[in-house]
Amino acid sequence: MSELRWHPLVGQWVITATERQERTFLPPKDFCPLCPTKPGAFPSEVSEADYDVVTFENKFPSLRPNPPVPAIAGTDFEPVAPAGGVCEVVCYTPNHESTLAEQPIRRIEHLIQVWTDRFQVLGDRPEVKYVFQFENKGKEIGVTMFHPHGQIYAYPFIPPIIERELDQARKHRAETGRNLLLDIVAGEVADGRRIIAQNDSFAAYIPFFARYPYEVHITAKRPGTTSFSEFTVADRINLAVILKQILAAYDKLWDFSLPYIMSIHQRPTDGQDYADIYQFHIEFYPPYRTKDKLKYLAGSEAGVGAYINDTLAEEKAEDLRNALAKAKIF
Amino acid sequence: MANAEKEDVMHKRETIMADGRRKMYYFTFDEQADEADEKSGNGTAAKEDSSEEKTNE
Repeated sequence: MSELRWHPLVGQWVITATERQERTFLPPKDFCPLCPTKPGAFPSEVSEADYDVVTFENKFPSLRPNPPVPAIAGTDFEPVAPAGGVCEVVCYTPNHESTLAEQPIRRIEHLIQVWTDRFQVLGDRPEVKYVFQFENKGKEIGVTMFHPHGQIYAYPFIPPIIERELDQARKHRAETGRNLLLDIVAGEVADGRRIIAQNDSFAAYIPFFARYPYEVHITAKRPGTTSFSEFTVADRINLAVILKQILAAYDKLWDFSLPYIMSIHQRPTDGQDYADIYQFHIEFYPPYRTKDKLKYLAGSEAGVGAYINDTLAEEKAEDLRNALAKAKIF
Repeated sequence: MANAEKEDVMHKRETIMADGRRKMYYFTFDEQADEADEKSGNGTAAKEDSSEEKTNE
């Protein structure tokens, strides 16, 4: 069963997808569904013996192109709706043991080209209002498969955090005439204390308002860059470079492959113009606050949405700059 | 710094998965002559190549 149920108290859709209880959970390497199928071996999701980058519709989707009629009736204030949309898996590499951080910049560039294609194709679907590309990495985050991969959810609505960002951006625009995200990135670049890396197209920093100790944002500097669709060739190369730098710094921080959620924030695909108020950016949420301690979303965060960060962004940014220097990417 | 104006050309091939219903896309790339890792040696790319070509099969 799968449907959207409206949460009237907080004003957002909740997706029910009961089939997902049966999804593959931490399979052994020889039975990885994301590895290429080897001759005579277990048939994985990927039938070919090798690939560069491959995407496919999720076997256990939360949203589907032909959604079933909701199995339960809603009410006036708790309506239900079909869970239409698309969920895709993006396999970065056929190498099961690798990570995105370990990919050469050239392959990260290829991935960015694939992300661009999927943003445009899925965003063109009439029912899709928002294309969310993300990666859950590491067992601490709750991944069910270790093969390096990301996911794409093409939603029939604008998700609540994006709605909230847009509301704040519109308010800032009305009050100042400026773009909030451009003001944020310009402020970070001018201050410098929280910058990890930057190039002509992007700045990577732990924001002044970070909720997680090692929360990094990578924000596009060029006005009007609201999605992959507005990227130039130089932007794609520069994003590949700065992604490599941040991921390398993460892995060098404590000399283990750092888990994270990578959340790519782009404009909605509902046909409206967001060029004056929004900017493409990527947010990383690593769950570790020290080498051996996790940052849990507990009472204050999960219960009422009030984040408590036990660290200072300025100090953690210095940690990441030092880690990046040790990583010797450039 | 090597020539940053060339981008590898992407090809996309759509297939239907073994279950006969789900769509799948294989992406392959024609690598250009220069080394991509060298392109960004100082973290700053050169100007955009206006002749960028993207091939979707």
